[in-house]
Amino acid sequence: MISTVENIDYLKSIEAIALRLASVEDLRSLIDTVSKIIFEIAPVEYMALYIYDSANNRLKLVSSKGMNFNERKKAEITAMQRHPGTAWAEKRLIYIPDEDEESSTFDDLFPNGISIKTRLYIPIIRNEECLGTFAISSTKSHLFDDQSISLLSFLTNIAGVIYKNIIDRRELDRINHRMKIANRNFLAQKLHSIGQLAAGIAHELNSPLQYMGDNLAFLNSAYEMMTTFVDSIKQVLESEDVQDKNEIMALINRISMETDIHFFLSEIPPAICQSIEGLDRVSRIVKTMKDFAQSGVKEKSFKNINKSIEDTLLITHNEWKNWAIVTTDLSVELPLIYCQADEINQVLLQIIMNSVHAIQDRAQQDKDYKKGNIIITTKLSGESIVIAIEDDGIGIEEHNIQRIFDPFFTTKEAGKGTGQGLAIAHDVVVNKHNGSIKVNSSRFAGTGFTIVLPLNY
Amino acid sequence: MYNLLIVDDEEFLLVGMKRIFQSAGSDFNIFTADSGLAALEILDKENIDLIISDMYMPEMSGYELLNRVKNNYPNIVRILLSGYIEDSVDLPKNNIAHMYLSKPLRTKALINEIKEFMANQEHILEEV
Repeated sequence: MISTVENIDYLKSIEAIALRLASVEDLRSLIDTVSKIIFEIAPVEYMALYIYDSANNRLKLVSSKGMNFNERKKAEITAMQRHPGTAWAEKRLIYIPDEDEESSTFDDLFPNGISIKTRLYIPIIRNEECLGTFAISSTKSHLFDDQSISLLSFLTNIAGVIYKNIIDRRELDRINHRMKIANRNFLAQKLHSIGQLAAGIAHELNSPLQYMGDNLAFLNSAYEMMTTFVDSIKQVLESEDVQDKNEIMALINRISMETDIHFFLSEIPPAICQSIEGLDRVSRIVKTMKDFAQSGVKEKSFKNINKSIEDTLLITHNEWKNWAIVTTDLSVELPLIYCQADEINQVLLQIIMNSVHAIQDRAQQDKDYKKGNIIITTKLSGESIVIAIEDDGIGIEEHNIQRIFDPFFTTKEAGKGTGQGLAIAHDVVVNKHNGSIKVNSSRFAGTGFTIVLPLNY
Repeated sequence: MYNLLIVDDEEFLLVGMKRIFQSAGSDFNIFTADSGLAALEILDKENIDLIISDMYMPEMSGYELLNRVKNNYPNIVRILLSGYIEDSVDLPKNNIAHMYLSKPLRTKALINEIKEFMANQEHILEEV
């Protein structure tokens, strides 16, 4: 029997163990460190670490020492039926100091003449849950005393906690990574749709810019003409040759005719008014575009869904104005909703653009179909806001309805659709806002999307 | 004096252009239409010399309208306005218009260009 006191002295203290384990960051170095420490406590020949795999209800052999491939394989397959399984299931430490004295605990993992004497099975427990079993065995009997067993048990359980933390962190990393990809996809989709809209928005801006420029040029001409008119009148009045009032009036009339002053005077007010309206329109489009494009705001805030719908319609105006008649019935009693506005806008944009495409597709096939209809309604239903977007476009083929929210699923020709739009819409509504998104569609009749956003969640 | 027909689905743009053409003197008699179909009606009744049409309009595009003008009224001078630059690359192949211009443009400069163009046209006709 090996003196544990000596070994504990060698390790200095339990703190030394804890310190060595504390620096461990990954699974491999954890297992290596634990193996080394155990070996320093007692020079055992065989060690095996089993971790419970809940998906397959078995103990998985994650690390071992002194065992060959076949032995490891056999150990894993039979683990549940042997001591490791018992120690795990009963959350109980099993110590057999001398195999020969206990004929009932036959374990033939090493049949080739190796005679195991000491066996120790330590359950790894964290928060009442048994994570697995640490198995140690040796051909020498009575390898451990009570003190070293409790030290090993302590070590094993610390290691178990660290193991679980590493696994949890891995899972967290995986989730973060997935979220990062999802965010990247969202951004890519947003940029894609902004890119698609950019040409249309430029066109929307061109018309007001055109008439604002024309009106300013006109006002400039009008100013010049008025100056001419005033100067001419002045000349007439200053002239000493003309004294008769009738003669003066006749001259003024002539000047009026020549300068076409009435035309200018009557056209100045509408030129100014229309330019102001044009300026308002340009400002509104630019502001809405800014709201749409901003990606920095990642926090939720209270938003008016009706305004989001109106903004989306404004920014997509050029896309649908020649194809569809858009009717809205937006409930005035809608409360503000706590949401991530840019994501909700993106969802609305996606669905409206899909409607436009569906209408264009139907128009191509159906010559009698002049203009499509898009009907958007909002209403308050209990504690939720319900948004319905319906079109009478081409509709979704029945066998595709199940798949429309799948990432990368698209029926659009290559380069036209990313297949991400509705997948992201689903993610935004369902995962990020705890809502639901449903689709109803029949071929050649149209499609309706219903989005339900709970006010409190 | 030329009979000029301006076609655009944007009302303010139509009146703005009309205003500036009128303010530029008495060379133009202006007609306006807010759609391709309305334009065709005017073309049917009036003796139009020159047409300026927007590209993107509901129901009938500027392309379609000018294509019809090309076939039915080959003597009318056709000018296509578009907000999109890429259109002007493809269109000349089909000889849709005599001039391709993108919005926003300086209408005063356009007026001078048109006058020059029309003078040349007459010159060509005289030579023939």
